[in-house]
Amino acid sequence: MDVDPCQYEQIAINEKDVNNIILSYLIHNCYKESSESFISCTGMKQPADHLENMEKRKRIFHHALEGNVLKAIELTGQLAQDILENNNDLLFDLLSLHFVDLVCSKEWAEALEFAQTKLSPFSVKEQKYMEKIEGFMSLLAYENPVECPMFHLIGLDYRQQVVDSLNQTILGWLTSLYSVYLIYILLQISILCSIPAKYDLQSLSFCLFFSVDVGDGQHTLTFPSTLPWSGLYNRPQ
Amino acid sequence: MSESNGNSRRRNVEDQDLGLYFLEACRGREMKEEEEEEEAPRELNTINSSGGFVVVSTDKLSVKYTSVNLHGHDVGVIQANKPAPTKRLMYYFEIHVKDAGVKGQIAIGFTSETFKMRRQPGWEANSCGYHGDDGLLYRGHGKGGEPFGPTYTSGDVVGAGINYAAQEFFFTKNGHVVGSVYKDMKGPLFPTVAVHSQNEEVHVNFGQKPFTFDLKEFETQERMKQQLKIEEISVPPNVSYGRIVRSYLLHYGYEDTLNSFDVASKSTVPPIYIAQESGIDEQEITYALNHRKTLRQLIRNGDIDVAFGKLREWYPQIVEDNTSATCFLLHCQKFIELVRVGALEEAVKYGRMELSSFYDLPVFKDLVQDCVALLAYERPLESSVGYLLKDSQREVVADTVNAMILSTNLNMKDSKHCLHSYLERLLRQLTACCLVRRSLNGEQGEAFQLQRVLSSSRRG
Repeated sequence: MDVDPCQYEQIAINEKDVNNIILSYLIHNCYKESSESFISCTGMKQPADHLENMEKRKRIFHHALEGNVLKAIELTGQLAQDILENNNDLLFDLLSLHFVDLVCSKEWAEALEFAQTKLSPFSVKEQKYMEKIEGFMSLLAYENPVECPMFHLIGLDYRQQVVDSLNQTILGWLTSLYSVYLIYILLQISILCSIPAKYDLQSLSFCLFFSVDVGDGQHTLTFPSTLPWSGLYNRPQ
Repeated sequence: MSESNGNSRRRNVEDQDLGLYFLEACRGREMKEEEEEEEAPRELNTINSSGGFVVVSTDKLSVKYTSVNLHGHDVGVIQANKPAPTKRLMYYFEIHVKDAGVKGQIAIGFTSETFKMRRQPGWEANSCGYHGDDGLLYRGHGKGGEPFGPTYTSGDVVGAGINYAAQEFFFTKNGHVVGSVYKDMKGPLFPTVAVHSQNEEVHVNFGQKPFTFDLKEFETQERMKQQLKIEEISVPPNVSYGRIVRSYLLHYGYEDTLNSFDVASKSTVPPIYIAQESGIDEQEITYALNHRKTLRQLIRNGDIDVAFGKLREWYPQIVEDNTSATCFLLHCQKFIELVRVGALEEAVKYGRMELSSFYDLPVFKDLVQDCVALLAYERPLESSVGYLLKDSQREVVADTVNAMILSTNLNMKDSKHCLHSYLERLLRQLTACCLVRRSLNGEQGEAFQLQRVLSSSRRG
């Protein structure tokens, strides 16, 4: 079904909503100066909890990214008490990053001791941790961990994922601001809502979600086949 | 940053006065009326019912079967006085079974306007009913009922609802969901109850009293379900949200924020080189960044004369036609700023000199009238035209000037790109898609509001 391009042109987007999206991104990623500048440029009202603890958050995930996970855990405890005690998955992921750092530093004995004292108690709580621990321990079987089938655990992507999760959890704990990437959510929703459309969407193709077929002067969206379409959302006809 | 002089890079903007777009937007912004509240059922419809078999109470909320049933065409069936409202996430109503009578052949459900009023809901096409005597669900398919839930009898409270988001009927018993089923019926649907054996009596609650079932909690769960569905999707790792943010800052000329953002992006671990990423044609929106920033600041501070001066110096082609929508919006803003500081005499003079010529042009007339109306109020901010004194009005003018400057760029591939940032285009795409998805559902379900989408994405 096509949307009338006129209707598309007439859709009004509230400037406050867009500014909130931008600000949420800046706050989420700890762009302190940019946040302050954006607030002053747009004349937005400064949220009560705006920039709260941003510097502390920044320090926490810089420590975690730069291989000082135990310091990051300590600072997290100071900033938001009990946050990690109530989130086993996150605590395990952070501790596993420290284990990875020890392996990469070739401190085998220390890595083993750390696994036994800090990681293995998790396996008592739930079976899933046992499987994860086995994956991490396999890194020890290789002198060069990069050759291990589980080498992705050493990579920056995995670390970034854990740190993002920590950042998000802290934000959720501390503030009532939009604390997730609203853009991320919106892009996801836009996949679910995407339908063939008459209006020109080439300008949006940079989002990488829309593959735009051009034919007969009209632009039509095609969809990734992997999307979980369900009764909740009508699949475009 | 090199600026492009308006004289050297002249582009014909006369035939594309983007100010008209913003003028329309600014007029529509305050005049938009709230969507009318839909009428919901409040009582039973005593006119269109199988009147010979039932007695309805004077408050039109209770119904009793007084006859002796002999066959399947003497059902005491009655609809609500209005169809279930559709512009919401869910609709729901309940019945309290006062007396299950001789056989307990009570039913609750939904039927269409043309439903035969002597049959149980679910026995005919375009109807659906959950029956108390056997716990079966009948859906008008002519195949008899299907196993659905427990039976119900005297003292039970049974509910029926429509979940528009999932396009399902759902039923409850004593505050708990019994089950749900796909809603394969189109058009207006009326809440319906039926009684079919002697002394059966039910009382209907259309929401005038609190429901036994926690509908609010059920709605919350439905929203969560939708949100989780969205969050399950993994996004390609090479999508750069920073790029979208950066393009927004560029588009609207937030140069200071942009510089700070670029510095911060490079100092992250690992550094994010957003500016260098391909995909967005940044040259289009980097154009005249410093000029656009300066003019936005001037307009936001109410310095319209200075802004006019700068435009004449840098982009004379934008202001050479004094009857353009852009000039009109600037003149209006100057008038508004005079009213804001209480210089009413000066405002009157300025209005006579600059605004009177626009009065006879239909496209400008409304805004001129609103501007002049400011003079009539001692406290104009609290009046019906008070919106003109808000910051958002300055932003409209600043956005107009910003778009007009971008349109003077000879390298701009499409003048529509001057109007909105990539992020806004994405949001409009989302909105349009949601509107169409809703129309595919027969305009049922909550009217799409971006604000609600944003709120549902909150944490904490």
